[in-house]
Amino acid sequence: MPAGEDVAGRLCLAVTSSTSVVGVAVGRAGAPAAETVAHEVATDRRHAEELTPLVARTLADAGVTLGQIECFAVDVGPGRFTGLRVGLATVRTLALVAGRPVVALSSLEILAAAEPQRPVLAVVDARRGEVFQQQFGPDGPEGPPVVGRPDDVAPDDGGGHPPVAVVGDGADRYPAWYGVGLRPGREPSAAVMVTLAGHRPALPGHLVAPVYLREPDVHVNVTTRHTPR
Amino acid sequence: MDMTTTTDAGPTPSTITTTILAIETSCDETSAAVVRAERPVGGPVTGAPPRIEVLSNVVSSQVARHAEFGGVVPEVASRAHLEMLEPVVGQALADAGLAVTGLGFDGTGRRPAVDAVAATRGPGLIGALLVGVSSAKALSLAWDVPYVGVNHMEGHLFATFLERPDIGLPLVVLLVSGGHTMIVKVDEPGRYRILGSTVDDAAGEAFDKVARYLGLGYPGGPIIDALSADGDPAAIRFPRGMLDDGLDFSFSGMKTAVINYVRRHPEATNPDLAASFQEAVVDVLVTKVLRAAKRHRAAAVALGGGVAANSRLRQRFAQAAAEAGLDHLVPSRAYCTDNAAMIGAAAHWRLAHDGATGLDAGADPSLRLATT
Ligand SMILES: [Zn+2]
Repeated sequence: MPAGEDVAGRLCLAVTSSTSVVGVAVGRAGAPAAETVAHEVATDRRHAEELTPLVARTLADAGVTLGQIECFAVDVGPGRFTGLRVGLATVRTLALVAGRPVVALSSLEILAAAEPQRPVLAVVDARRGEVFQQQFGPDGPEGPPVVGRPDDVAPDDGGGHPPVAVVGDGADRYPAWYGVGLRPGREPSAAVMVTLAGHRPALPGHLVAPVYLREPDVHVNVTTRHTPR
Repeated sequence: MDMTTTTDAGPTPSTITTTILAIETSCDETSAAVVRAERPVGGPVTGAPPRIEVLSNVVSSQVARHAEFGGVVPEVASRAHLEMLEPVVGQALADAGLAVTGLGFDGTGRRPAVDAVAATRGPGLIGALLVGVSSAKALSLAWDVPYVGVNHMEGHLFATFLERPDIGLPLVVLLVSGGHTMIVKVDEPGRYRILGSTVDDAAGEAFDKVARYLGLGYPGGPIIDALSADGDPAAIRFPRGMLDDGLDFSFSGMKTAVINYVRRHPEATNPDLAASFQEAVVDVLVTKVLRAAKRHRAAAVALGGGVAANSRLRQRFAQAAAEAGLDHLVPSRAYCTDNAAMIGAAAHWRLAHDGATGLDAGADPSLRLATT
């Protein structure tokens, strides 16, 4: 992996589409979320329908053109595969046309960044009874992201509740394992991504890949003759 | 719309030249093409098919990635499209001589001389379609040119016009692939009628299933085609599904007949089985497309879709059409299998006829061909 480019202070367009929210924000990389122009739309399966118009609308509201954008940020997951690809195909294409670099941000670190408490556990619904999960301490991630059933991966203080703050739609989905509470950061925020982009390396778009954390589901059902002739 | 207007000296009316970058990611081929068409200013947009110049047509096949699974795995296909699309688009622009830099983009505000961007919006695998649609819409936004969402089946029909814009109308097209089997009557571009379709498996699916059963590998069509050269097409008389019954198809029973035959006759050789099965499928396909042409008074017949690359089908179809005195087209193999040039050809007509597609459009995995 190349070292990447520092884009702090540059005009950044950020996109998240890894969950049931499509979000777009425009602002100076590293600036506080309150200083960005951001929009989000809740959607179940219409990520592709929502994203392109939302990019156009956010740019218009920010009063800038695509040509003025100096860097991009994209949520690379883990999350919903189709949503991720919609975001990546869109941002990588825009970045390629603009000749500008892309900051890859994990959905879990975006969620964690919206929560001041540490440690914080970020949990994204992975469907099929599973979650994507990663814990963040005061100095960053504590271990790699994992995928698994909540009863296998959720930390437990013995009372059925984790001993940390919890964010993400996966935690909402499994309150028995992650506790019931106020979770302001239910989905990754594009405005938070603009802030994070000022502190992460930016790469050429084609080097930015989705984080699937799961092999493709492959069902093979083969009947063959026993002795081919 | 940013179009180049050329005024010729002399009495010829001025023409509009439109250059379209088209993207196809509906199944297991990642493809991009640049196609150019000219039409007179104020000229008709219906009636005669556009004359299309294919400046480039790049296809990256994923077939090797799916071979170990014996069929197209949707999630594997979607992942591969995301990896391959940008290089394929860059290559298509470069081949067309439109690249601003190596990849076709340079960040200086200059952009390739493309007037519209098109992508297949269905039918197909939803995750695969959305990669192409998202990228095409992003290009449309970045270049400030119209986006055109194209029906994949209409693309296959327009493949005929790429090579034969003058082909007789009405035209009857047999579209056969791993995903579709249908007979379509084309009165003119945009006016279609589905005359027949499969009631169960697609023809290409039947080839895949038989090849898999015989332990021959994947994809079944080309393997059975090649193996048939060493076999006797008359060795085994397999049933011809629904041969005497209208214009619809049924291939599931033919596949089962092969399996049952092998169980009863374990000594049967694969070349004979392959050749005899292929003959049965081709018999049905050729009989039905010619029956459709006769019933519906077609002026011409054509083949389309991946199975149209089958050498026995091409040979028997050409022979039968010639015997029936019908104008006919056996398209180049590159225009039979999924490719973006055909999507660009359909996009030209759709753009002129319906205008641009909104950027709020998505993909439809079960999109139907609009019929009249
Ligand atoms: Zn096709």
